[in-house]
Parts: sequence; C-alpha cells; structure tokens
Amino acid sequence: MRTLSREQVIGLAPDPAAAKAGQGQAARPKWAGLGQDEQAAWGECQGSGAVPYRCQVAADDYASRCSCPSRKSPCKHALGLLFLLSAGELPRAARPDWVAQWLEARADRAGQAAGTRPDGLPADPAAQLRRAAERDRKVDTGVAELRLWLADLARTGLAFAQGQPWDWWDRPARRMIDAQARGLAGQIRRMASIAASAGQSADWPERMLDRLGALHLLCEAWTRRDQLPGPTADALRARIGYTRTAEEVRASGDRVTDVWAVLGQRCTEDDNLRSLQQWLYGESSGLVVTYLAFAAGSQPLDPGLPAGQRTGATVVLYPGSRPARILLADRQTASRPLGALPGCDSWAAAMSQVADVLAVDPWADVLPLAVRSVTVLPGPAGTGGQEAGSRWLLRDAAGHAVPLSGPAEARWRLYAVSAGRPVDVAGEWDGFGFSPQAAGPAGAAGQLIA
Amino acid sequence: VSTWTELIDAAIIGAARGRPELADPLLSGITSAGPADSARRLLDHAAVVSRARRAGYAPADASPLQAPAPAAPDVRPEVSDAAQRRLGELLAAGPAELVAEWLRLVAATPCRIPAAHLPALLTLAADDDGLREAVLPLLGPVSDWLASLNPQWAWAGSAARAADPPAASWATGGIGARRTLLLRLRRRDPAAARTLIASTWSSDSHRDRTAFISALATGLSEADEPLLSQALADPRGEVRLAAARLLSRLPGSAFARRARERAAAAVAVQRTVTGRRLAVKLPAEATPEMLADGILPDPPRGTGRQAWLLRQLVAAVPAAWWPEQTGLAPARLLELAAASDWNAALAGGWRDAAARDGDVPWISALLDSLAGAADPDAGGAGRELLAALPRAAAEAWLMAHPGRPLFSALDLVPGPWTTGFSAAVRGLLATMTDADAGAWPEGRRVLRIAGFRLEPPDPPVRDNVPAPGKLLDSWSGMLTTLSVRAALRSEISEETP
Repeated sequence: MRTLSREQVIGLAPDPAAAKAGQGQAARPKWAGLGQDEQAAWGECQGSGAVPYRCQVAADDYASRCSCPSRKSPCKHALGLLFLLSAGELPRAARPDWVAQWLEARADRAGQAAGTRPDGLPADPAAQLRRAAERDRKVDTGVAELRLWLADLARTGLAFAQGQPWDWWDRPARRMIDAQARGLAGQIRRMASIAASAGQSADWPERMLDRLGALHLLCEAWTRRDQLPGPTADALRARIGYTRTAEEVRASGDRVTDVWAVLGQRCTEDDNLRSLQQWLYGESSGLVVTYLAFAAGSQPLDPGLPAGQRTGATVVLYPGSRPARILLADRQTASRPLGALPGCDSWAAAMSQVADVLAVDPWADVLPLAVRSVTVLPGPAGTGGQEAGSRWLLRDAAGHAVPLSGPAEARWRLYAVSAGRPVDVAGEWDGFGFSPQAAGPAGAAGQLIA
Repeated sequence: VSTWTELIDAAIIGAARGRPELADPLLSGITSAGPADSARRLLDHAAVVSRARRAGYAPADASPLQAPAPAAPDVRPEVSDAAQRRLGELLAAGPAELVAEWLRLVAATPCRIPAAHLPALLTLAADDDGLREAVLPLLGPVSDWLASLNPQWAWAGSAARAADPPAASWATGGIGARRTLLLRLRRRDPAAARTLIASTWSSDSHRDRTAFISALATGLSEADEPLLSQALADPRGEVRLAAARLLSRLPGSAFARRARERAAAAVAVQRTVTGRRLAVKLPAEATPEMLADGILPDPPRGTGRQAWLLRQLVAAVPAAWWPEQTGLAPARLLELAAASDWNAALAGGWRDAAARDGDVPWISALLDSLAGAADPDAGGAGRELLAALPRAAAEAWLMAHPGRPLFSALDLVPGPWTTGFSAAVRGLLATMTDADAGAWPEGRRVLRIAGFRLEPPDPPVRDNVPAPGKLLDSWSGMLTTLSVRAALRSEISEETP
C-alpha cells in the first residue's frame, strides 16, 4: 500500500501520547505475520495478554481495526503498523483470511452508503429536484431572518455588539444551521470570535466591519442569485454552505496533474471534530489549491500530502469558492524535499492576484500568497510585535511592506531563517496581515515554519 | 481620512445614532436604500467598501525603515533533514532530556543547530540549566544575532558568554543568574570570583551569602581562607556552616588545625589486652571556640548533646585524616566504633565527612557496613553516600550489589551510563518479574531513567518472557525512548545531502 512519512503517521494519531505509544509498537520482534498488499497492511502483535492482537489498516483511508481493547482509533498497534510501513519494514505478503473478510465487509458498507438503491438504479431524479427546491426555500427563510438581524446590528453599532455574550451571537448561528446554511453560521461565529478577542487586537472594529460587509453581500447575492455569472454563483453556494459529495466532484470536476508543494498546513480540533487544511502550490500549473479534511470522533483523518514536501498527484477541483478546494484523486508514493519557493516578485503583484480572486469570489477571506526576496523588519526588541505601533513588517525588493501577523513563534522562526537577509515566503493573507507558513533564504530551499 | 475609516467610525456607534453620508462620489450610486433606511445604507456601504479595500490593498511604503544588520554567516554544515525534523518534533512535544541528548550528539559533529529551530530552543533553554549547558557549545553567529533582539535570549548572546561577564549583572541579577555567573567565573578565575562575592557581601541576604560561599567549593584553595574565615563569623548559622564545611577541606588553614586538635583530643585508639578500642573523651558541652568554628550546640530531636557534639567534631576534619592519624583502614575503624558506646555518633560523623569529601575508600566501607546492617535509615544515608561517589566508583559499587540497592539508586548515576554499567542494568531488567515490580515502588521511575540513560540505547532482551504486566506502560515507555534515541543517533550521523 501507499507508504507514509513518519510525520504523517504522527498526524494520524488521535493524540501525542498515542503517537509515542505507537512508536513503541514499531519493533518487528513484537509482531508475527506482518504483511501488506495494495489494499491493506496487517500483523499480529504480542500484547500483555496470551492471545496476540490482530491489527489491520486499510490503504484507501487508513481506517484500522484491531482486536485490542483500546478505544482510541487508530490504536497504538495500528500506529505501530504504520510506523513499520513508513520505515519500509512491511514485506509484501498474501492476505490472510481475517484481513480479507474485513476488507469485504468494508466494501459492502461503502456500497450501501453510496446511495444506490438495492436494485442498483440511481435515485429518482424528480425526487432529487424536489429536495433541492425545498432546501433553497429553507435557505431563503434563513437569509431573510439574517438580513433582519444584520440590520439590527448595523443600527445598534459594533461597539454594542462587541459587548454581547456568546449566546447573543450563537442563537442566529444555530438558526442558520437549522436553515441548512452552515456557511452563514460559520460567518456569524467568526464575528463572535472577533468580538471575544477584541481585548487583544486594537483593529477589531475593522475586522468586524469587514466580516459584516461580506455577510451582508452574501445575503444580497443570494436574493439575486439568478443574475450572477456561473463561477460566482458556484462560489456563493459554497460560501452559504451547499456542499458537493466527493462522488459528484470526482465525476464532474476538472482534473490537474502536477507536482504539488505543500507550503502550509493547519490542524484544528474543535470539540469532537478534527480538521486539516493544506495549501498546495502546483509546480508547472502555477495553481494554488487547498485540501480540506475533516474527521469526527474516532474516524481517521486523511493526512493529505506530506507537509513541507513536493509530491506528484492528480487533484480534482471543487467548483465554487476560491482558491479551489480539491480532492486527491491519485497520489504518488515518493515525495521530495522542497526546492526554492515559488512566488511573486512584489507585494503589488501578489495583491493583484488577490484582486483576481475577489473578482470571482468576493467573499474570499484567507488567501495563500507567496512572495520572493522580502526582508523582515522586526518590531522593537522583545515585543514580538504584539503591542500597537510595534508591528513587524515584511518588505519587498521595491520597498513596499505589509504587516506580519500570526503566532509569534512563526515570526521568530521566519526571522531566524532569514538571518537578516532576504527570504522567500509563503503564507496566508487575511486582508489585514500576512502570516508566514513556509520560508527559505532567497533562491534557496524552503521549509515549513508554522 | 479615508472612506473606510469614516465607515468604521459610523459602524462603531451604529446607524441609529449617526447617518453615514459618505463623501466619496464613486459610492453615491451603490445603495438603493432610501435615506430613511440608514442601517441598510450602512450595510451596503460596508459590503462594497470592505471588498474594495481588500481588492485594492496598497502595501505601505517602507523604504525609509532601517532593517537590522544581518547575522555573520555560519559556515558550519547543516545536520541531515531527518535530524532537523527530529529536533522540531522534540521541541514541540518533548521530552527535554532528548533535546539535550540531540544537542550533545550534534556537538560531537562539525554541524550547527538549524536556524529555524533556534527560537524555540533558546526559549526552552532559558529556564532549564541542563539544556542551557548543552546548547552553549553549539551557539554561533545566528543565535548571537537573535539574542541581541530578544532580551529573553540575552544569555545566549556573545556578550553574556564573553570571557569577562559584565560585572554589572552581578550587582543587579537574580540569584540564579548570579550563581551561574559565579560558577562560570570560578572555574576560570577563582580569585576574580572571590572578589565578586566580597564586593556585595555586606548587602547580600543570608540566603545569597550561603549560596555564594557554597559556590566556592568549585576551585577551592588556601587563598579562599580569609573570606571563609570572615563567613565563619557571620551572624547566621547557615552561612557559618557552609564556611566550616569548606574550611575543613583546606588542611593548611588555621580552622583545619583547630579541628584536627579537637578530633585528636576527642577520639583516640587505645591498645588493651583484648586488642584495640576507641576511647572517646568529650567536654561537658561545646566550648565558645567550637561555637565560633561553626559547631552547632543544639542536637536534633532524639540525639544526645554529647553524641551530637562528637559527630560534629568527627566530621569537621577530612575523612581521609582518620586513617592517616590512626593507621587503621575505614572498615576497621567502623568495626571499633560498632564495639564502642558511641557507634551512631562516630559513624554519623564519618558519613558526613565522607559524603562531603567524596572519599571513595570511606564511602565504600560505609556502604558495605550499611548493606550489612538492617538499619531502617540505611536507604537515605546510602543514597547520600552513593551520590557523593565519582561515577566510576558509584557504578562499580552498584554492579557489585545487584537487586534492590541498585534499582533504588539508579537515578544517582547521571547519564549516559558506561557500557558496562548499562549492560548490568539491562541484564537485570531482562529478568524483572511482576513480583519485583510489586516489591519496588520505584519501578516506574527506574524504567523511565533506564530509557534515557542506557548506553548504547539497546533494549533489554527478554527471551519470550512477557514484560512485567503491572509496569507495562512504563516498560513500553522505556522501549519507545530507547528506539527514539537509537533513531537520533542514526539521523545525526547521516550525511547531509
């Protein structure tokens, strides 16, 4: 099966303790009957009991099953198996019966979930249309309510809204989820978190007004959705919360085969939901796309492409929001280290890319940008750039600069990598500051720094 | 004032209280809302102007700003990619012991610390003495340059590491920084360190004075006697005690001469018809001269006044003085003491002196006598003695005493262990059973320590014997640590492409 890097295996672990325990299991003497083929890896691990644990991992999504009593998934045995795989220590072997049975059961379940009727015919097209119209009506109601709420907010002012408790924001957000407009709910919650962190950022009114404008524009656009150009209408539906299934995208999306450099990665954990976002820069296509994966509870999180490396892959583009979200259709097993980072030669050129994206998807918020040969201008010594008026800047060769934002650790790492000389950087632009994620000395190989 | 800032001001107070009439003529046609619908007008403007601001963002002109001068180039090669990634993982998730090991291994190569990891490393080491010692030999131009920009990292800068640390930091630094500075200076220039202590002596707290006097143990010489004698007259008992401990290690000092005279007067070897015996002769209580030399008059609870005095008089001379004076080996002296009425005081005094001096013949004899006696206090006293032994001697004694004593004292032997000692520990771990695990409450600690200190980091091999079930977590934790340490070694020795 497709191999993984050690970092990716660590990324699959439900928590750091499990990753460590998994490394402890990655010793061949602990195992019997180790093997792998295209679809799975397996082995029997001697635990503390008399009967060894039978452990198996599927190749397509790294789902695992183990006979050990652990409730973590993947358990340490499955992780140990993956560590062995990443170290190239799993021999090719004939699949034992117990693995074959598990794979068959998985395939059956996947078939049922795909929505084909038992007789193998696709679902009724008229019923599908009916359901779509019903959903649009629900969103209509939600948008109408949201417009009233936004008008109230505009009347009473941002200062009043900032002082409101979480529930004041969360109630309309929950209403939008009921109205099947999850994207709108997310926008409201982002405003709530701007309000909550107002103490730490002096520019909160700007950021909140920016969100308010975007949200109002979403509502306006929804009421006039029939007049919008196709790509913008796709972006609108994606931003409101209409999703497409992977099957739909795989069937109709554009495909791009390229070598992709992963120049940024962000993992979040919220209640029971883990998510992963990666920025992929295409080497010959020049495309920049984003990979998103979610996993609830004990589901495995597909680790995407190896972060901070270059990997050949065919991706399928989702229609809608920009930069395009992708599916990984086919990825190569071998990865190479990053070379020199791609990028524009000036902030002006980078900002014109931003304008191009906004022309199609005016709701675009955080965008990936890469600029070459910029100089870090640190704030006053020791401030880390947090206090007002002591901002760190990133200046291009033409002398223009944007504020550096993001965590202080990434800023200092960028600064250390630069050693005071120009650097090539890739990172996220949110309309207010640039948060660096990968960097390297100008013209030399880059690395992830956040 | 831009249209955007005008709009922010209007939005903060709300449309109910202000009527945003934007001056920009370009925006006149963008809202269809009537003049009465001020909220709608505000929202329409916010939507258009916020999008326009993003699409037309103009980076500021920063050409007049001065960038700091770049760091001097670092000509040392990079470590392998795998070693760089490993350091990143260890810095993010620990344990700090392995970060220190990574640094020690790299210090044996010509390579440098990857620049991207310096900030996290300098921050971590700022609060960790052991890590700081491991980082110092690897610092170079880039860390120097970073240190000049972040006061938290000042310790890593060339100014702080210079041969002549700035004396200003002595008068103003915290106790930890002052002690570190003192120890570093003392290793290189004992006299300068002494002058430094004297310069603030009268204004330092008694806790600081005690710490500084104790620091004189590094590079102790006859030249320290005047300062130590001054400390011996200190109003605080702790300071006097610290000074007395050091003075007793200076055989040429007046203090040492007085101590020898008192010891000789108190304990003598007598020949009798049945052999030898120890004769003890003590004053009724401590004399003023004894008190002036740091003898404490009041015994701890449970000890007699005279026994307490005897113990201190015995301990006030170097442990090695007793065999020289009496012509008897430590083991023989302990036998004679055991036959006397003063066994506890005599053995206690020798124990104090031997631990202080790190006297190998004495400590070996004392440890053997403790191992023989079923003394409930033997564990504590034995640990103190073992801790005072030089590494090789401690390892040798423990290897000769496998089982319980070895396991309970493993933490006293600093890592990395010698290969011989590691092999002995590995052999014991390989046969550790559930029964052992139950009998030794320190089992978990032992396994953790063994993971970090076995050298080379090879796991104990248990032939088809399952690991002790009660300690399974600790056991697999040890295996993990060992495998990570083995990986560290191969990653660091990998060639840079």
